[in-house]
Amino acid sequence: MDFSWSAEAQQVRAEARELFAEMVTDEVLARVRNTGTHDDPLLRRALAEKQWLIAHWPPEEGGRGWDGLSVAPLFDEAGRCGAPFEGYLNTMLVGELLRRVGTEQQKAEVLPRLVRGDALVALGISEPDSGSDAAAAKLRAERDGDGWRLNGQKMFTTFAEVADYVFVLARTNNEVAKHRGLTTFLVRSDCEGFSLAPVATFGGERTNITFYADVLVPDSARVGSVDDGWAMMGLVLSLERGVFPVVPGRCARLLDRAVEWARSATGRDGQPRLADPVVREQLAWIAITNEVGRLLALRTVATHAEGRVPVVEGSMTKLFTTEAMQQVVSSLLDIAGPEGLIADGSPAAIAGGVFERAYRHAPLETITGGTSEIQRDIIATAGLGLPRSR
Amino acid sequence: MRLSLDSDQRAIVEAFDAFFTRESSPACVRAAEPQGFDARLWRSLVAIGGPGIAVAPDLGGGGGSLLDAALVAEQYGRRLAPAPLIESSVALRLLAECGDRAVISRVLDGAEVITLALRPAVSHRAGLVPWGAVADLVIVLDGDALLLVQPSSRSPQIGLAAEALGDVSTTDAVVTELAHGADATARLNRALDEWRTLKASALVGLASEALALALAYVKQRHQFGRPIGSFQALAHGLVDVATAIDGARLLALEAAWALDSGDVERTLPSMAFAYAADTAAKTTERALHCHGGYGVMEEYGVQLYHRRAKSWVLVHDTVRAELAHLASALWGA
Repeated sequence: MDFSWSAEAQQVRAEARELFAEMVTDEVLARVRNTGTHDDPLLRRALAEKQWLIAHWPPEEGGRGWDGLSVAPLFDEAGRCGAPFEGYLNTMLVGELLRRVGTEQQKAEVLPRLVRGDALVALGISEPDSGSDAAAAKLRAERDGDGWRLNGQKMFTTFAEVADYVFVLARTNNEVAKHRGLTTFLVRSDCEGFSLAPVATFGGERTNITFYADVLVPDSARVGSVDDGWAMMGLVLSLERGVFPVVPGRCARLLDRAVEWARSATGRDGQPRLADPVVREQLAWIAITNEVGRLLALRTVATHAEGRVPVVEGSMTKLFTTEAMQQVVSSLLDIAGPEGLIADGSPAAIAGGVFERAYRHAPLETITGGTSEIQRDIIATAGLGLPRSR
Repeated sequence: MRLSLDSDQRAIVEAFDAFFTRESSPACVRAAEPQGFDARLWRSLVAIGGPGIAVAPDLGGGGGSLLDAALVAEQYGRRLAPAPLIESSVALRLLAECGDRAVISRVLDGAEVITLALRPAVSHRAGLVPWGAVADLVIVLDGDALLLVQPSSRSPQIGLAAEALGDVSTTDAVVTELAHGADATARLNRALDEWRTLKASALVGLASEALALALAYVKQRHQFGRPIGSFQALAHGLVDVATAIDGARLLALEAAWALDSGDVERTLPSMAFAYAADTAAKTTERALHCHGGYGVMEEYGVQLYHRRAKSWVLVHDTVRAELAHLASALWGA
């Protein structure tokens, strides 16, 4: 075992820090906050140029053949500075899928656009009546000549407002068990019959409902075999759970901000808040769970880098880091006291309102990408060998 | 960075897994109670090179790293072995720096048992020292002197813990001074960080075996016509502790690696100990509860784990005290 960073990883950290310092300006962060869209085309293309997200691909596929842990500091640095690149990460989940199962045409025409950061992909999985039970999707895809006709709607299609494609999970067969009658498609967002309605969250994120009214797509938009969509989904979702871990970096930054604040702010006794034994205890516990989350995330990245799908490792990372984050933000708001409630923009706000903002954002984390309960079901059966509950 | 074991490390795990499974059966653990020391097991453990694994070869040790010792400690914890592996490992490494090599030889030959007082003596008396009731040699900080004590009398204490707790007096004993002043404190603090790290690994082993007992039980126990492990209310609680155990294991090994690599911040041993302690407590609570009424029956093994999850930590101090220690290490007093 070795917990030290390779020279390549140190280089990635230094370059990522430099790139983010230059590109994640206050102006960019303000725009992200105002729009709720965690994407910046310039940052996306600059990251693409570094080829970090494909560094673990073999050179013949355009990668560098690196061990995947070498780019792990990128996610840490991104999490620390709040770099808005979740849109690109989402896109590269589908990029990974196309690389593995895409047709030659998709690899030649679509994949390079994703890799270069020229096109974004949104995920169209949840529906009004199916969230955790994603295989119950009702959006229909029916044969129409050489192609397919799509009808239905998707919930929480985040990034659809800026995406070039939506990766859509569709029902293609009603005659078989629900998870055997699904097919996935890459639907262009400029095609006729596609529309969206914005959804605002109390955390300031922008997401969407997307509608598909007689949307015609060619068969070349299909990803994977007909009725094999559940396997495609499984791969995308397992990658979503921890292969690009930004939560530990966010938690590390929150702790840094809290310690910084607690050193200078004084309590009613006139002493620094950091001198209060209760505050110290809570902050020390956060330091521990942050480190545990960081290690679980690194293990997931390493498993992925070794060419395995980190099913249990990824679910553990997702479960642990997101639940820990909610405890972190709740503790930090408690430590900050009433002043912590004040939002950014007021002179009364502490640490730029960062704790208030984080508290608004955190509840989403244990829901998106599969709820904590879904992660626990996966770990129970795939990891602990327990009998299925359903 | 490499977060999995290499082949040498896997060989250590396999060898000590086999050793403790064979030599420290539940029957052996029970037979050693209430005091918790098995002299035969101790001699076998010394013979296979357990306590000396991380001592230099020219002193009779195995020449391994603290990380190797942590791997041994995890297997020790899984089988609740009634012998002072961790305290002796740490004490031997301290003696290797500032002690008499003849003393090291006597321990590594199996002739004498050594331990470490985890708290300084008060009025020349170290209270409730783990293995203090059976040790021939005790390292203890008394005032500004780090002493090697050969106790003349022992006062064993029996209770929840089964680590042969005993009070050790530094006045009516043969005493050698190992270090003095700031040097004495620094050496003890280093030894305590090594103890925290190895104890963290032992607690990870304890927790992982308690989880294994619970998993085996909930898979075979049927209620309402189904195995109870298929109920999410039970399964999800076990998933939470399984996740914590994986994290605690990585953190304990990272702490060992950091001490091996000359880490000067020394916050990881404290993090590892506090987190492993919390994880072991939560795991054994859930594991026992999953057994229903059988869990509290003396004849079921899970209660052995439940009691030690608390005592292995409290012989040093509470998790809250450890968090206070960590806060000072991270942010100053």
